[in-house]
Amino acid sequence: MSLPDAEAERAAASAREQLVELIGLHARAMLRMPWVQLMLVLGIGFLTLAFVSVPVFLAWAAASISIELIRARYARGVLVRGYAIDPRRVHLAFVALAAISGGVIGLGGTLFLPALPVYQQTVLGAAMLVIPAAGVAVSQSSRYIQAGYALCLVLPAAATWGALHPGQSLGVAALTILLCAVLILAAADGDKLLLRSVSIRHERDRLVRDLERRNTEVGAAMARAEQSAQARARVLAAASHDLRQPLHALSVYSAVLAARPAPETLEEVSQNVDQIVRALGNLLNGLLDLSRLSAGYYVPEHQNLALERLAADVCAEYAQPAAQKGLALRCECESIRLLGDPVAISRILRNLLDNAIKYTEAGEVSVKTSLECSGPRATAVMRVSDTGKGIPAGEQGRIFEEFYQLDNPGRDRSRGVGLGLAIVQRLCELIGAKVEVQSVMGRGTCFCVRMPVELAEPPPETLPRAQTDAVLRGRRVYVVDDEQDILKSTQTLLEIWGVAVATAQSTGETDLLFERAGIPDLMIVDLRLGSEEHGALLADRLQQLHGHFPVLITTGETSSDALLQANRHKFTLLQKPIAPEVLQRAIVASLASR
Amino acid sequence: MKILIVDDHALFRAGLRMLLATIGHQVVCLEAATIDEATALIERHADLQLCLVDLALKQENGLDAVRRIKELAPQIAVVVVSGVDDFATIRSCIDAGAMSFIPKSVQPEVLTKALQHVLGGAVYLPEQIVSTAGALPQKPMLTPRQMQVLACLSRGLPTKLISRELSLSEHTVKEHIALVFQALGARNRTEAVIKATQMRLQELPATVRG
Repeated sequence: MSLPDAEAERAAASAREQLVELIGLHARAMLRMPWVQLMLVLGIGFLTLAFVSVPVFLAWAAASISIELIRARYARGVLVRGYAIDPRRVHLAFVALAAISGGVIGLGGTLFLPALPVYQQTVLGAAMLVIPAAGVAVSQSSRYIQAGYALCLVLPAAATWGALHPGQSLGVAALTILLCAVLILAAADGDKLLLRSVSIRHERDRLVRDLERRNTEVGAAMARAEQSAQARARVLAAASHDLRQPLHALSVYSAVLAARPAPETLEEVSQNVDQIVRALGNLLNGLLDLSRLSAGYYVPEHQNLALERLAADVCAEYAQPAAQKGLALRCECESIRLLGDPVAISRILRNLLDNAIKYTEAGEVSVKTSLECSGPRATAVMRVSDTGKGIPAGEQGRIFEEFYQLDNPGRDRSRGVGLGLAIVQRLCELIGAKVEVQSVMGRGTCFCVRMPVELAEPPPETLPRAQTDAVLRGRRVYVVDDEQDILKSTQTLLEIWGVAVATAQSTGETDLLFERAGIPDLMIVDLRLGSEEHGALLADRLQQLHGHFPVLITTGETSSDALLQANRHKFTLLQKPIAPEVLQRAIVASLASR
Repeated sequence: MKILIVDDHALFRAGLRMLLATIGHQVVCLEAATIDEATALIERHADLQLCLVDLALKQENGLDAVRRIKELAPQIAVVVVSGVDDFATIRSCIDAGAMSFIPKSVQPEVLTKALQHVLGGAVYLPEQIVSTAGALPQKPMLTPRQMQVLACLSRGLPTKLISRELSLSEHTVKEHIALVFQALGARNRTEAVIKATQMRLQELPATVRG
């Protein structure tokens, strides 16, 4: 999220919260209003009852108190529902209720003022101006509630006063407008204050959250560092033993050499020293690789690569060692293009293959690659399986540890140093892949590497391959286009799919084709054929002449008579340029609809 | 001379075998990677004289191997050949009945010399143990008989076997042992072996026995 967006979102959240806050305050004030209103009604009654009709007054008093009771009840409901309310709607309801409440009191002015003597008129008139001022407190700084209440109250009362005292009407009007303006502005000021307090609270909450998050992050980072330090210490401890052992052995051989051994002993010494040195070299290389991977110096590349070719190359390297042990080495690889790190993937495969061959005495080792698509995500899967003795379930979790070796009590270094799978694991982490192991004792082991791939190009087929193959293979399709290049490329593509293709470059050639070979399973024809008769007309004429066959019309145009024509005949239209998978889908659909 | 090598590292065993064959006369080496293999070989070869044991066997503790071997055949001299060489480990090895201790980390010529020592029936302990004694106490005067008893003690022989080997009564042997301990200022066999080595009481025999 960009900064201005976040800013805007925070502002919107603050505004909503402000509204909720305001509604809460207002609703709480509403709960008291029936009592306030009762006082008001009693006061007005005391002032006017001697001069006005009692039933009219009672009706007005009942209406006035009822509306307050309704407001109070609605407010209680809002308070009970708490945050589950839609603040905008509730606010609107409050504005309406305030207007009605104000209006009813204002109506009292209209009803009673004409019947009153001047003194009482003055008192009531003054009261009518003072009441909305008290409303500022009740409206709780919503200028809309305040405006609704004040305007509906003051306007009828002021208009009545103006009618009773025509000489004062101008002054009353000015006073009324001024009063309402001042009251609304006062409410707006409160509004701003409330917004500020809400946003300060928001800011504080955000700071606290940030602080907590940062604390968690720091904690996690420290835990990670601790873990990595422990792992390093473990590796170092294991390495120190495994590095010393060959050194001790070398020291013995050095002593043997110094003691001038017999010639046959000398030969054995040289063989053993050679073995030790090789193992030591492998061990050091493994350790250095591992530390390079762990230290974060290795930055995976994103190259366009063909997974099946990479797998085939690595398999070729291991053909010789596999053959020496009498193992069959199979490489069955589906063609997969992806963006990835060829060095890392090769190394993973090499280590897995190396292990598989090392731990398999008879049978075969196989490498398979496949593409799994679930939803928008594609996963390249690389499997290395063997028919070795298997890994006990209890040890499957430990085999990725450094220096862990299965069933090698002699720690015979000719069987590797126990770093291969640790390196595989580390590399998989680096390229975002997952490595899993499945093993059945006595049956074999399968290592499965799943790489989330950004495909170098969209998956070429949306339909299952086997299904499209079955539909397309051996079908007879005529392709008609006046452009030689398009004709050629379409033919090549269709033939890859197993389709039997015949082509024609003009209407005349097409007619000949139909006379010679009859109707096809499908005709793909370009709309523009460089002659009077366009593709749709041609298809229509041929259908009338030879009977029905499916037609696909290709075109680069988006509007023309020819297009209308094609539509009229309900031919499927394909807009150029046509992607292979779109063409394939259309062909399969046409053939299936027959 | 028949020697058993107990070590889980095949290439190291092979190296020791070649070294022993080169520096010793008519040495026959047997090899074992585990305690079970070792005990099986000891039961079959009654004429084993020397056993070289590694402390870090794959899943087993070499100290147990030393104890098992001494139980099974107390007459065999056990020499620990190990990658670790701290004082506590060396002590516990001698406690368990080992006669000598050779660290794997020593220089090749030291290794040769140490093996010549043990082939000759003498005690070998690492230089750092020998030199930690500080100012060496006066070399005590031991009678030839007491020297013989000390040599037997060093080999980890029990009293009964010492009395048989020296044709003495067990009672006499015990008296000799007490005198040897007193002369060396040692409270037990381990201290006696270590102190005797520090005092360089045992000279390497002029010729290495076959």
